[in-house]
Amino acid sequence: MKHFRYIGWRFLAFVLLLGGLELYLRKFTTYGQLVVTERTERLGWRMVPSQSRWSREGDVPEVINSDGFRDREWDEPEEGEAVFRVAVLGQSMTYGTSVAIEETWPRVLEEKLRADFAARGDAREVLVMNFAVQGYTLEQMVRNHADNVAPFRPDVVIVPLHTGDVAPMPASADEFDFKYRRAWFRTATRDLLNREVVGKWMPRPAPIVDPNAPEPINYQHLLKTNPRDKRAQRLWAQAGGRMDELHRRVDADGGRLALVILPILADLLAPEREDPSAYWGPWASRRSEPSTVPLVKAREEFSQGQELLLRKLIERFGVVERLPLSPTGMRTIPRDVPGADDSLFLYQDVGHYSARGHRLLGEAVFEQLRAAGLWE
Amino acid sequence: MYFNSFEYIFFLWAVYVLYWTLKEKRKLRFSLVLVGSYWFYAQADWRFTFLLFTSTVVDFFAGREIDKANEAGSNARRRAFLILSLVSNLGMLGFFKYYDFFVDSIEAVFESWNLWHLSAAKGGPLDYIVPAGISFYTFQTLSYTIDIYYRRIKPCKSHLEFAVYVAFFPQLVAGPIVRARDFLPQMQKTRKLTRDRISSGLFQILRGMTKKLVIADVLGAHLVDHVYRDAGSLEQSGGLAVLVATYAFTMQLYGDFAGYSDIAIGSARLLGFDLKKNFDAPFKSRSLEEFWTRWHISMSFWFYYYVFAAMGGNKRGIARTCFNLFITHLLSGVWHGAGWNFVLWGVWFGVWMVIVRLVRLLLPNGVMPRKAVFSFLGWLFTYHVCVFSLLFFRANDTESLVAALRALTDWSGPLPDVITTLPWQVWTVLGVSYFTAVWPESWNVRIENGWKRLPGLAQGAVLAAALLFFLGVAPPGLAPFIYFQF
Amino acid sequence: MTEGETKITPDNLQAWLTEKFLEWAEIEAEEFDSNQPFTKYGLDSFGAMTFSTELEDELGFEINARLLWDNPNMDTLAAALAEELKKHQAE
Repeated sequence: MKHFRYIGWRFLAFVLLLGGLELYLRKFTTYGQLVVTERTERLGWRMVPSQSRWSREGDVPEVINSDGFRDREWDEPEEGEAVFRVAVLGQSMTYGTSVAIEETWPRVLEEKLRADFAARGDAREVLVMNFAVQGYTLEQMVRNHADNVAPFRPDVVIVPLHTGDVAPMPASADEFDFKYRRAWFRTATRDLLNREVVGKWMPRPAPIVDPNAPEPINYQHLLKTNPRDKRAQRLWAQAGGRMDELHRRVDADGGRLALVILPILADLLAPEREDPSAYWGPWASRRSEPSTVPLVKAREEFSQGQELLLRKLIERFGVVERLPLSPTGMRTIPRDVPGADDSLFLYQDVGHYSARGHRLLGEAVFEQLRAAGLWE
Repeated sequence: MYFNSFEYIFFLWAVYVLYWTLKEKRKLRFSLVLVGSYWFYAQADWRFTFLLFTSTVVDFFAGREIDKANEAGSNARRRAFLILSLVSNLGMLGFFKYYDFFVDSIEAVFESWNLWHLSAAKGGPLDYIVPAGISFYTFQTLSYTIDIYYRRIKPCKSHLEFAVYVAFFPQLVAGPIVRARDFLPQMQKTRKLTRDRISSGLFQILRGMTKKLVIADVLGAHLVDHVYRDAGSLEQSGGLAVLVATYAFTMQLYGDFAGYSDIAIGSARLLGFDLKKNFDAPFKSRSLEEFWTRWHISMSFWFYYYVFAAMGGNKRGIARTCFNLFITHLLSGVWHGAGWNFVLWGVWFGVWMVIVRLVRLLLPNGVMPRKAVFSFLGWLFTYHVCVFSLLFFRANDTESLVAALRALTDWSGPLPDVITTLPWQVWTVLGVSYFTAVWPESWNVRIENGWKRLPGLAQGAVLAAALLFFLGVAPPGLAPFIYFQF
Repeated sequence: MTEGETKITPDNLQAWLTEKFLEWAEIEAEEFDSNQPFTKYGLDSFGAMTFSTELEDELGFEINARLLWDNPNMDTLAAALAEELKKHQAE
């Protein structure tokens, strides 16, 4: 079988080398261990269910349950069950990027709720379900609720909001359809190449901007800096409509809706800047039919929780846009700034909370929603 | 299915193993190649396979009938069947490729005269994609019937072998255009599988992938696509940037197309077939005529053999020669695509070829004196005629073309960002690719021999390293081959 | 190779080649001088491509059209082709 002999050695060397590299990377490094997503029509993308992976720094496990969310396995809801369910929607700040699941604010909330129920003698089991997916906007969260959350008939639905949430849903351009290509995307070799070579040794080409498309508005920037802009107004109106719909649906299911305005470092460094509560506050206060919608604000707590750090950051950098960038393009807090140990945000990425930040937020949510009577 | 994909590698590997396992069973192995080829083609769109099949059936039948008429000496019948073949192939080609173009052009004319619109006549069903490779395989089957007509070859006796000739997957979608007499005899002679053949085939594929992934895709994504994005970006870029981008596009097109041809030839070689070179260091050409013997050789040969020579070639006096040259190039432009930019590309070359021919009249014996300076000037001239012809190719529409031409006259503005921030890696690719395109042929031979001397394990290691290199360097995403649209 | 013709050897190659060329160029033997460049008789680069293809068909091995470029008259071409023929017949 000459052809086997001829192709055999080459094939063998080829497969052994690539396979060997892959095995080495898997065993000795954390490459290729990121959570994998796949494209879906309605939601843009979702996490592939039942996977056990690692965070991008490789030190925190990220386990996705069989429903496709980062939480424990959930049982099907039963008639007349004695479970108090709280469903938390959201994006990466709730997902807990680079933070262990036990330290995320929904878990903190659950911990506090359990203690509270026990103290009050409420025999119901408390379950706070984390439905957050990294990168989701409000539009996706609302659809997520309709598709995945509503079947659990939660007693409370919490929607965490931050400035960019009302931006239009991004296209799922990077998701692939082909099954076998996804297999390649999951390999450690590809991850290694993606992190160490592409972008570093060989820069990525700049994207071609289609001139016929309307100039893409940087909504994140617009919403942050000029929320009263007409285009921003339109987005707010849309978002308000979506939230109305969500409110009605939650109420029809017999639950309550609550909003949480997520504190972000950009706002904390610029106290005079408006945050989403400027829009959602009035929206929430106008809701009385079918039920009221409490709004949780934690800006004060977050300011007080890292006062020294914030002062020093304002002194040294002024605004968040001047913070140093990491090689991967994220704003960072230098460790040598006084008070950095108290940071409520991740050093390597100020867009997400540290474990301290999650704890503070979880406590704030618990307290304020208790005051609003949501935990009865 | 694109050549530059994992799927193709698996597919080729599978066909290779099965093909050589079925060594004794000729019919079975050709059936394998046939089925594989149709499956390969169907990946683009399964409906295209009907056209391929039709072309195969019609020309097999026509070829046989022409030969019978040849034997019988019946001129009318010969001609009739040749016309059948011509009409069906060119008709299919014309309809699927050019219908919209004609209607749009006529419509544009009527609109400018404020006459009635043909848009109602256009209708929905003709909004389709052009079947991949139709320009290639129709020309291929035409070469078969025309060669039979001129009694240069005998018709193929086996349906299976002819069908394989037409649908052979390595060259199905973008060439080389293979003549029947170069391919059919190879199906009769069973090739031996030798180590040299494997090494050489793999080398071609490796080289083709490098040209496509490292040269063409990088230059395209980082530089050319940005400058040529639209009329606005061309205008803003200014003369120098447009010039650099056009030089880069020339190399991109070469890398893309020659790369594809290399992969095609390498794949065919792995299966025991020897296809002729389609590109031969075209940037070394010292004259425009020489260029056409080095660039897209199989197509330029087709046009010269079946069109230029059929029209009388250069044997009917200088005026007729010039006319033939011009028409031949115009048609080759039209062949490339249904758009005025392609027609202009053909006209550009047609005009320059005629000018060069007329200049030759003034020279002794029709050749330039063999002095270095003339060689150099000839090379410079030829290279730039080629480069500027590609303005027509690359500009997306007339607006862009005009903007590009205008930009080339305006060197006053500052260099655009895309040039000033172009990574050194891209400049390196541009420089190295041009260098390797004009270095001595003996160096190429030396490299290939070096590769062939490597033991199998080492070759496998090189292939693995090459794969990782490609994945690191090539821009993310699967870029189709430029010539797939033809 | 066409039936009925004598086998082409390096010795009778030039004669055969000349006959082929005369046929291709449509000229008479008297008009032809084996020392003059082909271009004088109307063989341009495309002609070289098609002519070399015809030669290939007869001789049975691949001939690079550049062979005609580098050997611009019959004497040198015949010598070069004879070399090629010897090489291929040795295989």
